Amino acid sequence: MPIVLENVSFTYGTGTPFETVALREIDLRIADGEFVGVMGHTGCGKSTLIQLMAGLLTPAHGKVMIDGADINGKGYPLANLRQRLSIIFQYPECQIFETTMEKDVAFGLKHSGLSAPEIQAKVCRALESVGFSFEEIRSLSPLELSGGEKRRVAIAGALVTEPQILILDEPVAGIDPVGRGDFLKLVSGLNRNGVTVLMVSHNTDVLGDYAERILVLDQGRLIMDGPTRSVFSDVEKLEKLRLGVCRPRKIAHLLKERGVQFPQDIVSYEDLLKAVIKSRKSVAVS
Amino acid sequence: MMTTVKKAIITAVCAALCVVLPTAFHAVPNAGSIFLPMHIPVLLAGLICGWSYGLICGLIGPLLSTLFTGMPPMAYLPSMLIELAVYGAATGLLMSLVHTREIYTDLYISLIGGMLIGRIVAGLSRALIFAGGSYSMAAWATSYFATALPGIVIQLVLLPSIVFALERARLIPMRYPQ
Amino acid sequence: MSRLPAGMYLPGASCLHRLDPLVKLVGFVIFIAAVIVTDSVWGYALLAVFIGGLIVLSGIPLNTIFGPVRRTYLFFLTIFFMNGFFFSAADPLWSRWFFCLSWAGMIQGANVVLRLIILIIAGGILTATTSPMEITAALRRLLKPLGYVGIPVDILSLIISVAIQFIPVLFEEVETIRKAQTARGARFDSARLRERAESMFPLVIPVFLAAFRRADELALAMEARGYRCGKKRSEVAKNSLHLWDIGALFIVLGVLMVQIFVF
Ligand SMILES: Nc1ncnc2c1ncn2[C@@H]1O[C@H](COP(=O)(O)OP(=O)(O)OP(=O)(O)O)[C@@H](O)[C@H]1O
Ligand SMILES: [Mg+2]
Repeated sequence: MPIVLENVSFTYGTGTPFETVALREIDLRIADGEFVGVMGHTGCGKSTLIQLMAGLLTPAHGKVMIDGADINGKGYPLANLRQRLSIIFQYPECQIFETTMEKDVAFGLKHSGLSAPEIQAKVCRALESVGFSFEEIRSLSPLELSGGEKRRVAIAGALVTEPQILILDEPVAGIDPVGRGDFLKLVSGLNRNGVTVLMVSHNTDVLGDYAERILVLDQGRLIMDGPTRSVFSDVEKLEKLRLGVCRPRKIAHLLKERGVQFPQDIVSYEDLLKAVIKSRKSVAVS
Repeated sequence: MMTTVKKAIITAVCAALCVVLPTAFHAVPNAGSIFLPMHIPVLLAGLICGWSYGLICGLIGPLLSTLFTGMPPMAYLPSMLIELAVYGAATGLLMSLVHTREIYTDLYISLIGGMLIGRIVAGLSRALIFAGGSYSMAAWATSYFATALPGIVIQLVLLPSIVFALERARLIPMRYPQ
Repeated sequence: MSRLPAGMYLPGASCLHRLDPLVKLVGFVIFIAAVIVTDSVWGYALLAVFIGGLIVLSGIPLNTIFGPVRRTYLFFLTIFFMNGFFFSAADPLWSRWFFCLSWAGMIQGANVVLRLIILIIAGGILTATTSPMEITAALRRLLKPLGYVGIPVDILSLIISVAIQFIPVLFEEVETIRKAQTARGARFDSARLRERAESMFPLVIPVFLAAFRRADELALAMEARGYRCGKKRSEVAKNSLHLWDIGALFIVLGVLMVQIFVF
């Protein structure tokens, strides 16, 4: 299900004194199975962009097309899209409302038309994918859990439909490092199985480690769009935008500024390690 | 037990929800008159904090809503204030009087009683103030029961669920601790 | 605040804008009384002239004033017919079951509708020329004397000011939750009443949980800082009323007196 945006603009509060243009003339195409990171300064329109893609907002101009169909067109089956596209907001635990874990996670399947055993199987898989044991916790109240556990339930609730597109808005804010690692592993596992992932984050390290492509927004415009390596290659430009780059890339950049010969196509810690080991070896050889 | 400060803040939050909740249903046609979203926080303030706070919430909530969103319009405000204040006070009073050892029973008795008393008082006030005594039984029955029936049913299911969820999340003290 | 649906306030510098908010509030209450006692054609004429004068003085565009009345005409029709049909008169034009159409009923209906329209317009003028903050501040001034008869005014004003702080915060919270649940498949705009009713749960329960969590945090913070209800907090002294404020009050009182004693 490729996502295509054609000349999309969006304005909040049209016709009021508080009119804000949040997005201007965005053109974009996201292919199946991509892992795309979205970055930009606060208020640049990242959340607006992904909400447009999820059909939660309607563009003022332009078209949002998923799988070739305009999702804001008349008669488009949005309910159907919601089964195939999931979105996880910054504090997803705020959406929990049911009396048991099982019911809450199953909420997304309510209109799926599946039979009860099928639903139960999916709920079980979703809860186990976030590290719960289904039989132990299925009838507990999700409201009595700790914050981190609640977040995992909420994530299970978004994954239960087994979406082909997964959109994440600041998903790692406020989780402890272990939880963050587990979560990112889960997401990249889904991506390897063909799920398109779109992740908004201020955390450049996470984007450098996982995203294969980066979109940079500035004041509602899409100003950079390309493979992570090439977007992160322009360190000065990103720093001028007050965004910065991931730490491995920054280290490579600093080494170069000091006059050290060092590869500059580095974005993840893995790249950095490899480059360091390689340069040590070449030193040893000479 | 909740402190006075906590009760006051909860009441304030409920009053703010009187402004905010109806706006969430703006997009839905006729939601305001069918689902009565402004009643929910007022009833809740009464149930949780007691009759005086329910009363205050019933007065402040609609007032702030009119000031900030223009809904309900000023002209309907007086009758709405009376109605909501009575709901809040009556449910709160019943909740403090009824102790059956079963929270759902307490809640249903207080809610049904409060809604009934509120509708009677609102009908009386409307008859006395707005229609000069000629407001008929039938008009009262249609406007307060027939059109509001879905709202009443929803409130009877929704409010106990909210109270239950708040207890579970340990945001309010348990009524009957095990 | 920018994300709230715009209220009715229109900033301006007319003499109505500059009138003391307390006077406007009290004046409005007196005016309600005047409208309620009105029931003759001359009475309505006087009210119309008075309202017309206010509109001219306020400089508010007519569209803003009559918009709310136009938008709710269906409601007025309902009120009119409910009064028209359900009024039990001695000489009905037509009657069946408990329906009963009569002249007296229709006059009654017209009376009720006219009063409502006048009150809506007057309320519109008040809210268009006075910001919500000014009105609530005036309300607190108005409530102060209640303290002398044992009503805990400090709790009341604490509740009002905290509620105002929470409105924009909770507004955003509701929006976020509405979007999150829509994405999970909740159907807020379904054509079926039942589905719409069911969709109240995933919205309203999380909203209350979020709101109470914030209330809990604020109450704890206030208690930790030693806040107690009943302690006096200093309030900025308000200027006393000007001559024109008092004049305005007398004019409204005059309208009420004329309605009671002349018409
Ligand atoms: N509901 C709304 N009403 C009015 N303006 C809004 C609304 N939501 C966002 N905006 C404005 O639109 C612009 C873009 O907002 P958006 O939430 O998309 O930014 P963002 O990039 O996600 O920011 P952040 O990094 O802080 O999450 C901002 O100027 C914001 O103030
Ligand atoms: Mg955002």
